[in-house]
Amino acid sequence: MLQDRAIGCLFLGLCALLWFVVLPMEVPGEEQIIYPRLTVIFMVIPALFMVLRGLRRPGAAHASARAGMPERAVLFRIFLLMLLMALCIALTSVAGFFAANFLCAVGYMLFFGERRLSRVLGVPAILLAAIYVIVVRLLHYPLPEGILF
Amino acid sequence: MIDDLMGALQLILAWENFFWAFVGVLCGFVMGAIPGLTDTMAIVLLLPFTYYLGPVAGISMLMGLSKGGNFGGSVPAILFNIPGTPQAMCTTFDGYPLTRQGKSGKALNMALLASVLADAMSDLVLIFLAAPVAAIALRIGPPEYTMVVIFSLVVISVAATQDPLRGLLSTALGLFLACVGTDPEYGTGRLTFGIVELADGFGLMPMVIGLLAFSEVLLQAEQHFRARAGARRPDAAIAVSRNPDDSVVSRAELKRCMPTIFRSTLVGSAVGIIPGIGTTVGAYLSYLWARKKSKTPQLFGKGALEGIAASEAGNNAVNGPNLVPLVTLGIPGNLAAALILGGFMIKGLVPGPRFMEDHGALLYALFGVLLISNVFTFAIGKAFIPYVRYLSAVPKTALYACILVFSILGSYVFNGSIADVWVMFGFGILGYVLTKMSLNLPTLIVAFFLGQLLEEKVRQSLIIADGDWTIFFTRPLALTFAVLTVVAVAVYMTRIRKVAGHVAD
Repeated sequence: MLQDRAIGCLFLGLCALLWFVVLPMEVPGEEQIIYPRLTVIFMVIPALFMVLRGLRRPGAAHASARAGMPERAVLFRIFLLMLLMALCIALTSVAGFFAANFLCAVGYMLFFGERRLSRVLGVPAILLAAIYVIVVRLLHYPLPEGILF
Repeated sequence: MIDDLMGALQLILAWENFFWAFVGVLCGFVMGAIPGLTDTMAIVLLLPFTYYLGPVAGISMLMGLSKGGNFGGSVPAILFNIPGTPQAMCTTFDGYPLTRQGKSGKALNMALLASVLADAMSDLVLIFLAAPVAAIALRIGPPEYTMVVIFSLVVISVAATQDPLRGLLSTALGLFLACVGTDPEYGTGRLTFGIVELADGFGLMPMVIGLLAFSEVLLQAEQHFRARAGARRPDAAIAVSRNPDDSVVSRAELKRCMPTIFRSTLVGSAVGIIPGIGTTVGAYLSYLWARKKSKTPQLFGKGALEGIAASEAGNNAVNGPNLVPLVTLGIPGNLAAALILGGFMIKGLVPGPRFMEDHGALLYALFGVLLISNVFTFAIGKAFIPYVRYLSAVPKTALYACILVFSILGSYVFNGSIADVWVMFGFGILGYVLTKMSLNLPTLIVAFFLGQLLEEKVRQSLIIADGDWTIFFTRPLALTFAVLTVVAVAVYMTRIRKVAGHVAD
């Protein structure tokens, strides 16, 4: 369970970085920087209160049902899923939208534990065929083409 | 006014507006009925495609998605005790016990009737309130507008989240992210780190799809991997009574539930006008009041039809009034309204005080289509009720794969740019990390949508006041909203949350 204090400190650190480094570097002009700095101040206030709350009640932490770090094995799988998605995006510009997404959709289904071949191949095929008909044929929107399709 | 109404009539009678509203309700219903998908995800995934439709057709489709999704969410709540949408939580209290008694048809029909009636009545509230509120909105200046936006943001931060500090932090982050792009006054680039694609700021669609769709898949994948073996199968057999009376709502039952539906519509509409309080609180408060007023309160939680009527009417009645601040001030009251605002923006339309004057015909046409969409919800609901249990059996593996492919497609088609797809990817990971910290993504998105408006009004106010910041507290209406912000937060934290917690227990 992530503690208030840790999140508060993280955001305070982020605010310091934004205020002293990023904003002076990335926002030219004294008047232009006022509003972005206002938003940083707006971020500092709750972050500071979170740190104070964490200091006052060290054990207290707020967490929603979906918060908290997953186990290492699950975290590794989530990381793999992100990697697969990144690979799919990178492949889209090389192999084209349909080829890349067909391969990756098959990959996603296998990754999530689907073992029925009809489903593994059928769902991506039907989905991409529907996208082809609706987006490319009916709406005349060209999707990235690559070396395959 | 007459010209606007005539123009609206022409727009309403165009077949494509009907058709796309119907498609919206159908897709919203189907996606809301599938556990794991919500009405907002339905809007997110289909929003980019409205780019190709006319303004009325596109926005009608989004509103249809919201309406259909809202009712669709009650299906898994009643059949499997799994609320398809957060606002359907109260529907599980009495819906699932009825399913266990073999009366799922009766429960679904009552949910449908209550949803449609309350939704239609709340649309009337929107229609009658929009013009007077817009007239008032036209008279307020930038300092007052600033305070109205701040009021909305603070109330949303506090009301839409379990922890006000986390809500405020999410809002601040959303406002900061809205700064990326080009300075609206000087035209200079800011926070772009030299990336040309960021000159216009983060794309609306890639950001929303990343935060709501991709991050959601990551979160659901985590749950999927954690409990693959112990997961409950939603397609478990549902007992269905052989008595045909158990599958329909009789006239006597409807008559008995009508006062509850009216009361809940009143509660939901009142809740809906205030930004951020949202459908879930509307449903909770309506349920509580219905139980208090009922002659048989002991049946609540055991399969009371009034309980279903109260919950469904309460959450659906929020929808119409929630659009009042959107169409009159340009302030979305909740996430669905923020996404509909995105639909307006895609069409180059900016809702606000002048919107009714400038686009009266379009707005009245939308109101007309909104009312007609209720007929679609009723017809689609009636036709699908016998078959909805099959929707809930869609395999998760296929669902995740489809959402991921749609995430790439949706973020690409908006601008035809792979860079947008990478933005979606980045926001997906950010959304996952922020959810792990219990920060609130809908609040962040609403703040992102309002960031530009807030900056514009703050700057205009400072120009008027020659740089004097006290302008926000010296004008009576601005000061009133500042005080209202504090009062609303205090009232919410001391009363409404306690009531919601009490019902949840």
